[in-house]
Amino acid sequence: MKLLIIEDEKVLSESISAFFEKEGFVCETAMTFDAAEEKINLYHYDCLIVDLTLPDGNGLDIIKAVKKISSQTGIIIVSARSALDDKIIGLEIGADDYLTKPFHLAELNARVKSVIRRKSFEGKNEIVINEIKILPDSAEVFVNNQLIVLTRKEYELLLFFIANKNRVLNRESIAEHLWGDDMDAADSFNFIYTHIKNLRKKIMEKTDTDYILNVYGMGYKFSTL
Amino acid sequence: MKLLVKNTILLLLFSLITFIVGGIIFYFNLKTQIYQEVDQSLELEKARIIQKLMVSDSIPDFYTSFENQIKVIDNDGLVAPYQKISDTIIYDSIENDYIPFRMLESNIKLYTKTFKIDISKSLINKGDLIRDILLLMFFLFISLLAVMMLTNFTVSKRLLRPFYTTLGILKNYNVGRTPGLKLPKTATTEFTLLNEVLNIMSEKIHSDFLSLKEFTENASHEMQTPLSIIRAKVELLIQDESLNHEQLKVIQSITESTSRLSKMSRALVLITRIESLQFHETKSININLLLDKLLGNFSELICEKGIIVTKAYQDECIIEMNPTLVDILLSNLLNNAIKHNLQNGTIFIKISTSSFIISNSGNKLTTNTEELFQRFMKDSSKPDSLGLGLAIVKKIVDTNDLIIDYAHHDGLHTIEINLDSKKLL
Repeated sequence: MKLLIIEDEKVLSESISAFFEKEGFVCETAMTFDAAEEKINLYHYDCLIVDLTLPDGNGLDIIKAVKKISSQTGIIIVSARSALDDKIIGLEIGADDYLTKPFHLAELNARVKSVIRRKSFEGKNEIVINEIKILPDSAEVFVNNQLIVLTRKEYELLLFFIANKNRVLNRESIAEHLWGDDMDAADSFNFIYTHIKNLRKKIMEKTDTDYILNVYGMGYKFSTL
Repeated sequence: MKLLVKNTILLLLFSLITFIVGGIIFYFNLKTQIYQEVDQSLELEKARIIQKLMVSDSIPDFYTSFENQIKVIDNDGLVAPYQKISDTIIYDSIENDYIPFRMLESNIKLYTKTFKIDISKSLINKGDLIRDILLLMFFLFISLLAVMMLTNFTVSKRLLRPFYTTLGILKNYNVGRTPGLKLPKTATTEFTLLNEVLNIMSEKIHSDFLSLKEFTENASHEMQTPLSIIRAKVELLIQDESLNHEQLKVIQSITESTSRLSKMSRALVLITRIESLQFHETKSININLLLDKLLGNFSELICEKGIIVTKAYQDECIIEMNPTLVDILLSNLLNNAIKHNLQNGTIFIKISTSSFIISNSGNKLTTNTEELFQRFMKDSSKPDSLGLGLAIVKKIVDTNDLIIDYAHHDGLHTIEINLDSKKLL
């Protein structure tokens, strides 16, 4: 899987790149509009992470250019501007998702994986982690080929965990993934705890492996090792 | 009180005082004048009588009438000469009334004889004269006053027209919406000067407002990238399995503060965007449906706190507004109603065509009611809250011509949003 990170802030670009390399992606970075334009003309990428405000151009133009070359490339906009117009225009011209800064890498990861999955399997996809099988189109989850019934939040939580498997997820990123910005941190932590407890119980009914580990003071980790 | 009314009342008051004082002075002055005149004629009469007495031996007949009585008595040199002029009244049998008279009483010595000369002159005609003059003056005053007031009223109204125009523009002025007041020139120097000063002032306010807004917006925007970096670095850091509990605690508190900061800057950006009217597209939105949807979104929180929600939808409330703003407005209000509620508390929602009310049980505010909608105003018992929720609500309300009211009764916090602000004004 090849990823192009178009972001003018060097440190952020490096962090994103380091994160995705650990996930097994091949990452390339472009700091300017020109560099990005050159790269998309030369190589094929599975997914683009585009910052809209570049020193020498608008990220929206890159999205238009990519769409002309390869419609299979997934595009995720990352912007400091939370202006609704940008979001609407971005999605209209073919971006797959939109994330406002500051975001959690785990969230970006989940979005990238979801976009790539949608693009590459064209609907007939399934996610298999050991004995857990997820059919994203019907939102069904099987453990040892037995269907388990999850609530919407539990299902979202499981997908988020699996996208970020073997990584420590802090509670903030889980809370933001499930509820967005609306909820107060203190409130959401209780809910996370409840949802995780239920999710774990439902999985453990069908298998002996405890996938969800508690990381002291920090959050949780979905461990497949 | 209107300036015109005040002006007229003052005018009336001062004219009245002037008239009364002037009237009294005039009256006494006139009276003195008349007395002097009468006294003079009494003296003259007396001189004439003496002249006649000097040339005749006996007391001649003097022409007298009721109005003009003359009494001359030979009193055989018994009394020392003297003269006194005084007011008196004499009974008139015809008029059947007492009539005021001016009376000169004197004793004179002429050669060897002494005479008592009493002359009385009726004042009845003079009194009538004074009354007539005063009455005339009174009518003159009344008509003068009426004319004065009428002119004052119409002229002032005309003269003050530019002032009211200015006032009207000022009343509807909204800093940030239009650059400066752009008040017109008028025919009156003072009003032109006032308009010029106001124009300069409003332009200054507007530019200050813009630069402040720009600063907030930029500062909040620029904050996002460093915040993203901190978050990314922390997320990379926590993957390190060699971290001990103490280090994890430190990292966790960094994470929490970063979240707080990022929420705060997002909220500030939102406020500046509402201020600069970036949400201008409007749609008809059904408040009833939207509130139901949001209650669904918040159902987890509501259940968690054991809050009982009571709905009284009397009518459908349709509002023409930007959908995003309505969403933010209602979410913030509901979020507040839940956040500041008690365990097992209540929420009451009432909707009518032109207003909706959201009230919730809760402890009394530790902050001032007036400061409730200010930025960073928060309940001291909720240190986690940003204190921006109601500031955002207020901004939305202000920029969309709604009216918001807060009240606290019997342990219930009530917020009412009224749609008909224009009609109410």
